Amino acid sequence: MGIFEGLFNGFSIALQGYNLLFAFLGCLLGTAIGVLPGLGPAATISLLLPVVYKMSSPATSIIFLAGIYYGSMYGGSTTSILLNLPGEAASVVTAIDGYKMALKGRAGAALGIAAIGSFIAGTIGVIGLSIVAPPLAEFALRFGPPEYFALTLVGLLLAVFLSGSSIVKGLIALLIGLLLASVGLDPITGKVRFAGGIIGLQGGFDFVTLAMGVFGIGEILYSLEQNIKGEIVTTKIGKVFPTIKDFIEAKWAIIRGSLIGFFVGILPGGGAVIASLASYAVEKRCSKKPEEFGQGAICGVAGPESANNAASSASFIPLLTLGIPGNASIAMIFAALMIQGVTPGPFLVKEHADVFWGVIASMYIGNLMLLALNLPLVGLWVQLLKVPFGILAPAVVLFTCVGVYSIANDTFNIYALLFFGLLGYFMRKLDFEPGPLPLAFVLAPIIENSLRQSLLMSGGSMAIFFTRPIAATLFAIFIALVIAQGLQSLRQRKRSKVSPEMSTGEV
Amino acid sequence: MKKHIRTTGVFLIIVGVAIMVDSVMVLKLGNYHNPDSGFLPFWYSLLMVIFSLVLVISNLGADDRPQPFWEPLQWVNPLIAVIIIGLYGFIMEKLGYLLATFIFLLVWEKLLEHEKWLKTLVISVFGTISLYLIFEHMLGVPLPAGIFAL
Amino acid sequence: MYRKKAWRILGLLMVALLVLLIASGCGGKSATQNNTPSQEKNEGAAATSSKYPEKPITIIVPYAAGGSTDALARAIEKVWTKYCPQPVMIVNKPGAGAVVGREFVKTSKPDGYTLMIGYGSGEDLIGPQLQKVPYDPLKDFTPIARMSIHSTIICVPGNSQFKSMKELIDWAKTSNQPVTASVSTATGNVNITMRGIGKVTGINIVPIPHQGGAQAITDLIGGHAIVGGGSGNEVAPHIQAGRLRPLAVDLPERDPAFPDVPTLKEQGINFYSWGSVKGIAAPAGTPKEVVDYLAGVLKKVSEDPEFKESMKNLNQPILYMGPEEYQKFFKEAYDYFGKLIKDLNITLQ
Repeated sequence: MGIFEGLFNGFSIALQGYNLLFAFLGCLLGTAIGVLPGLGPAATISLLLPVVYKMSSPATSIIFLAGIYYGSMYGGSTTSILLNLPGEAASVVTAIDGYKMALKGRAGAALGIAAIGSFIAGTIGVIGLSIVAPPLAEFALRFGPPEYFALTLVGLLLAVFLSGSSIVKGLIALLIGLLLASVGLDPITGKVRFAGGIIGLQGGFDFVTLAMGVFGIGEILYSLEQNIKGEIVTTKIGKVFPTIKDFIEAKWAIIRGSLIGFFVGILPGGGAVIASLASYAVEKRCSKKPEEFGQGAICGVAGPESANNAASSASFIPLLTLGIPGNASIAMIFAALMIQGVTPGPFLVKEHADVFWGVIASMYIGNLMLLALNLPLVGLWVQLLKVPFGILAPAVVLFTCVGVYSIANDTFNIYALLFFGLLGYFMRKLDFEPGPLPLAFVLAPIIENSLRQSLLMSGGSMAIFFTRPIAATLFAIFIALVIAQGLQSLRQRKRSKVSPEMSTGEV
Repeated sequence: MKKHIRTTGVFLIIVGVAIMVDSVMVLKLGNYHNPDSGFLPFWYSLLMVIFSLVLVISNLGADDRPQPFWEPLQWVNPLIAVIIIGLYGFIMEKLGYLLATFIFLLVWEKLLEHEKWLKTLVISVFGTISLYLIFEHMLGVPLPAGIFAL
Repeated sequence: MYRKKAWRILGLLMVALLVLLIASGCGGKSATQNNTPSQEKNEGAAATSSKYPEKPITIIVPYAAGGSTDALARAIEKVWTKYCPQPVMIVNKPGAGAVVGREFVKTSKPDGYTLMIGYGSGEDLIGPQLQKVPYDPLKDFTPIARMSIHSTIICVPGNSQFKSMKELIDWAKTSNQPVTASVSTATGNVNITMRGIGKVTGINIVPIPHQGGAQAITDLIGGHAIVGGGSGNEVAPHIQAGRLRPLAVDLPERDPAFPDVPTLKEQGINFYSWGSVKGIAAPAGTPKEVVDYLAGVLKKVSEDPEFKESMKNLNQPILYMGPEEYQKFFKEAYDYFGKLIKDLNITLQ
């Protein structure tokens, strides 16, 4: 079956009333859980599995579940931009410039460009999914432990570049993130590290708890210090929608972000995070005004947010073509299909063409639905900023507390949230950019597993990282980036010696 | 600022050295052939110690404009908030979600926002009820019931 | 004026409500504090003896959603209500190497409303014999039924030169090269099997642990290890697609879900394992009537045609066993793994 025939067939399935309804319900539910801090798509899908079994056709169930998944990716940017509360790793990057934009009264523009960017990225992702899925999936298989190690190192380096003012402070935040991630079970030997006999610590910290604490709670503690009532309110709300000028400024960021997101997002594991980091770095390089990044650059929102959403479409490729689930949510969809007697994998397109093309077609439609759903909502979300700080702050605290409680139904996570809140508070006071910390935390298990697996594979020889072509290429990129950054810092220092008023005394 | 950064640097160096000791003594480093649990934590903490040293050294010297870490009484509100959140986790387990949330809102509005009693009560009651409806009934999050088995 | 008065009355009402709330709160608190654990256990027994089950039953899956144990739980959930008036709720409590979920079930009330699935996995039969865990797999749980055994299917990548275990072992012996083996986790059955093979054949097998079966299989398909293994539902789709070639199964007898794959013994390797046993258990102290009732429901589930169909799709064999039998089987398997660990000299380094 050719692509066009397949897609035609797919649309005839996706446009059936029942399937259309469930695609819509999935998108709606996904948006809702994406917006609420702490509740993720994996948990929601697992709660809904019993409902899914009762559905007559596997195509309907995967259309519904996929809608929840990419819908939540879409909605995830909202709280990051408005309240500095990134609910998943890939939104951390969006939060950096998005929240700054909101503080400057440009929340509407940020949300609007995120919605439009997500739509374009989602569509590009699905087009890619329908055309080039199988060969790309084969390529992704060539990523073994050494390749993941090299790729993740590049990701960590990009995370350091986020920390605008001081590279040393960024490196320290990064290392704190890596160390926090090593609390709990050692992924290779199963030995418990740094837990001090506390059961809650044995499992390690949870990412959502860490991100909510360092960003949301830290921010609230810091605002309380100012003791200015309604600090968030005083920011004017400004125009609800992005202007044509905004859109023209961001259009290449969206396209580049989508492409980066699609290609990096195919890799199971940290794909989406690295994609949004890479997009941010690329936009900062390409921008005519790199000094705006970190202060509310619209391209710093449009690029990573597009990358994030393209990656969520791309993450279906390993599932649909190889039968490999790339993350927890996709694993749930995998399980749901298996129980209904559909095995995702290379035979899916032959044996269950209706499921394969049906879900792809529904993603085209779903993206349109999400845009129609989210653009009008921007106006509503922006109103959230009118809520006085005295009500908004405790509400955010309570939402995050229940959110992290529900991760393991355990109050331990509330104490962990408080600990990370204090960490975030002190980082703000000492002028450390918090961004690299949660990003390092997410990438740490990949770094550790892949390094140790590689060394086991090679019998302790580092040569494994340089003799394999993909790994070697990625290492070359890593080294090039380090040199480029080094040269730039040197040049800046020379310049600051000439004009001492520019010197900040920080490295 | 420089002074506070230096203090932070020294603190991080102490923590880093402690992690290095634990990695070597308790977790074991292993070797390149088969790295053990302490292998990466050791390298992470070593790097952290080095960068913290760089941070301390680059911030030597007196501040141009010395300022205290906290302005007088600036630390009070964050401290109150920390205590409230910590106690919230504790009493939620003991008294259940409803009562804990009510007390949380009551104390927060009174101590941090200095609202009048009436407004405080109204916010607490309506806040508790609406959050309960959202989580328990709309999202089906299992919350500790405590003394009210609603 | 009226408005002010109304506010004042409202305020008074709220204060009254608050006092009431706090008073009842203290009362409730002291009442629960008086309960010692043993009393609670008795209460549980008394409450359940009459008309169990009165409310939905929670089954804890101590692993992430989407894994083989989770899939089994979902397959049971799908047909459960045909045989029991109350539904089951599947709750995933992964974390700390499946310790968190087990700890939770261990400390739950033994009233038959909180059960665990996956009892008999590596974390029960192998892990506790390697390191300290906060539960005793033999004493803290009451077995209800065995539902399935997930054998380890030993595979090589589809384009590998090896067609049998013998070819692999001969190659390792003649070339004297280490054989990298992609395994799920350090405490998992795949790791024990691989080390066991290395021990009895004398070849140098280097197990590479992952964070679960899916990742281990992905690396094996990509050809990043020479050999590997996984449970039936993990490897079956890839065997069908020709990306993996099965060489052996690690059970004493062939796996009913893979009748064509020979055992290790058949290929002259004197080693077997008990696989990852998937049973259901309740906290210790659960009344016998409740255990028998649940075992009865599960027996009917195991014979349900729709369940059989799901399990066929999942490539999991149905190997039902009742409570007493399963307890005996569990002890036997536990001791066998204990002996293996001693003989193979396995430690967590």
